[in-house]
Amino acid sequence: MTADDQFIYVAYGPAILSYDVANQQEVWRYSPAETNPPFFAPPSVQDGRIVIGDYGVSGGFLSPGSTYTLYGLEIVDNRTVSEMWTDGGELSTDRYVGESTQVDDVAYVPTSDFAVLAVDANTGQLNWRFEAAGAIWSQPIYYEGTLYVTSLGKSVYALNAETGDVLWQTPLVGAMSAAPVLNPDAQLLYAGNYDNKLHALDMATGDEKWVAEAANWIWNAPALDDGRLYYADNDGFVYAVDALDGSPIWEKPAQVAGPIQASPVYADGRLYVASTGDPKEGTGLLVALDAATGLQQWQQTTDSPLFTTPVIVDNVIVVALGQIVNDLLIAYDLETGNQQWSYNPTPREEGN
Amino acid sequence: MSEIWNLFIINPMTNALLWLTGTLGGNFILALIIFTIITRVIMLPLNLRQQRSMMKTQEMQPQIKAIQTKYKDNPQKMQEEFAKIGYNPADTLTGCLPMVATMPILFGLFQVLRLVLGTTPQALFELTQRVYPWIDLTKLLPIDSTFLWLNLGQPDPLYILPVLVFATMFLQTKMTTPGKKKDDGKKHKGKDESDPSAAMSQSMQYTMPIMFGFFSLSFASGLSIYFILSNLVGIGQGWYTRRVMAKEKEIQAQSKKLQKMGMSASSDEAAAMDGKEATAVSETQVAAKDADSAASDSNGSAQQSSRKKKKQSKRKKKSKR
Repeated sequence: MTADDQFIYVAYGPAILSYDVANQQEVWRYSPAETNPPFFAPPSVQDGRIVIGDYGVSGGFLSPGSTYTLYGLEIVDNRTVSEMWTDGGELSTDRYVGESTQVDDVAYVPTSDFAVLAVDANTGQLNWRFEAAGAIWSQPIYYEGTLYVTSLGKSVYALNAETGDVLWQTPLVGAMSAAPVLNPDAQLLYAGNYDNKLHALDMATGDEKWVAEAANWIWNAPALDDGRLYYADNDGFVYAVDALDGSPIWEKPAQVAGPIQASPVYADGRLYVASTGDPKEGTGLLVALDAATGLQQWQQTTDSPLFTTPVIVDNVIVVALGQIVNDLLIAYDLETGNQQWSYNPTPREEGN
Repeated sequence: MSEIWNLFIINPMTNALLWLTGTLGGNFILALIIFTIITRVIMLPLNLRQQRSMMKTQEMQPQIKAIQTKYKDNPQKMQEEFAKIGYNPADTLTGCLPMVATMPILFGLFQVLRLVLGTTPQALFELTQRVYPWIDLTKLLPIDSTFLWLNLGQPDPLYILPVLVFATMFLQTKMTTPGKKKDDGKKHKGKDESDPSAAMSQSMQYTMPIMFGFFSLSFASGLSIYFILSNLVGIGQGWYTRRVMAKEKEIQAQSKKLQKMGMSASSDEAAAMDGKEATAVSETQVAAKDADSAASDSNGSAQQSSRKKKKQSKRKKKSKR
């Protein structure tokens, strides 16, 4: 799920949809008419253009293997969407899991077949391809001509965004599914890792500056605000550390029920954490913490686990549910946590 | 129900595969091979029993049919007669046990491969919830899912594994099901029609391999490799059981021969032969020692009958004197 102005864009199973938060209505829904592939990666939206890859379509009973397609879509007047191009399943032999990054007219696309692709966002033409040592599930982050990439292959890479050449590579102990977070003022890159640590690397050289501990795997990216870093782990602990040296800020980590896969979201002195809740109950949890102390302000239980990072649009925080029990989207008031609205996409004949 | 399934099948299998992978230096394909062999070895006693039971039943078919025809109106007598020839109809049901017992492993592995290879975030997340504390998943990840031209989490794009699944399963079925006797066709024309179990086992020789070969087109390659390895072990098992049963037949033939000789030969000759045959019998017993108790039963009866003959001939001698 991503947000742009008053619109949120959700890739949910059979389709991608755009929802107008201000008017509380679905604007459009896109699903390739013939194949109806599932989508998992958050849509990358920039200047009315969407780049997204699908989760694969099986070739059928007698045809082994699946086809994974990358799409370029154009949003017309915020009302409709049309397909600009697809790669015809040529560029990747595995799923698209992570969100792409668009810079000017280039889209940097992470793939599960160990690659970052740089494609022309208007035509789908491949500019270059970088092969990593493992699948890339996280969004590549661009800063001043350099692309920073984390991979399940246990390395962080800095690439020349123009050519795809490796500027530096730092191997770490564990795999990474969390996108890196950049702090250009401190020249630091932060990467949550499956080795139960948050690593701070020098943006220019890749040298490790410090590490902050966690109790379990860190699945997703930390939230950075005003010299503080907030990150969460698979045991449900939420941590706040100094962004410069990694020293703890809260007396003790806050605890939320259930493993946390989504990134924490910071807004106006509050930290919002979505958790997968109790796996036995099959419910999810959205918790608001006081960013200064880590103390809980409110919490809401959802019908199914929350795996996706919530987005803040139009003074509400919106969560996308892992499974549609009653709703796909639920919006809560930022201050009180009261539910503002919910949305369940009614089944319809898929197609553009 | 799903909790029981997870607790007793999925979680132990997942952790066993992960543990093996870690122990073997992260070599997942080697771990899968050893895992397959271990599961087959665990099932071996049950499989051997099933195969022996099938083959014996097949051989007893003429007697079974005769009893069935003769005592069709007297089920109690039929059961008594069955007992006399050592046939228990319930064995036909217990014969299905190995297949039933391997099903959870098969269905489980289907799920486990998807989990262990962790090719999607959902699968990886699920895996973290199932891993035992003593498995260092951080060290194991990412598990190398490539082997030769294959991605073990996806079907074989070259169709080689489905062909191998078909071929090995066909051979295995051929080795583990009783063969059709050549003279049966002459003596009992239309036998298959009147003997549904034989007809079924004959048709299974083709339908099962074709079915699994087709399934393998869409199965993950890792699962197809499990099938192939498992079938190879099955072929070995079938060969071994056939060899042991051939030895048993030899023993039975020898004991029949002894009986005939005991009727006609003099007691001295019988005694001399007895010694030789007893030695032959005991040698064969050593060769087939872990095969089954039935074999030793028949050996025992052979020895008992020769002892009886000895006594009888001694009594005859005494009475002549």
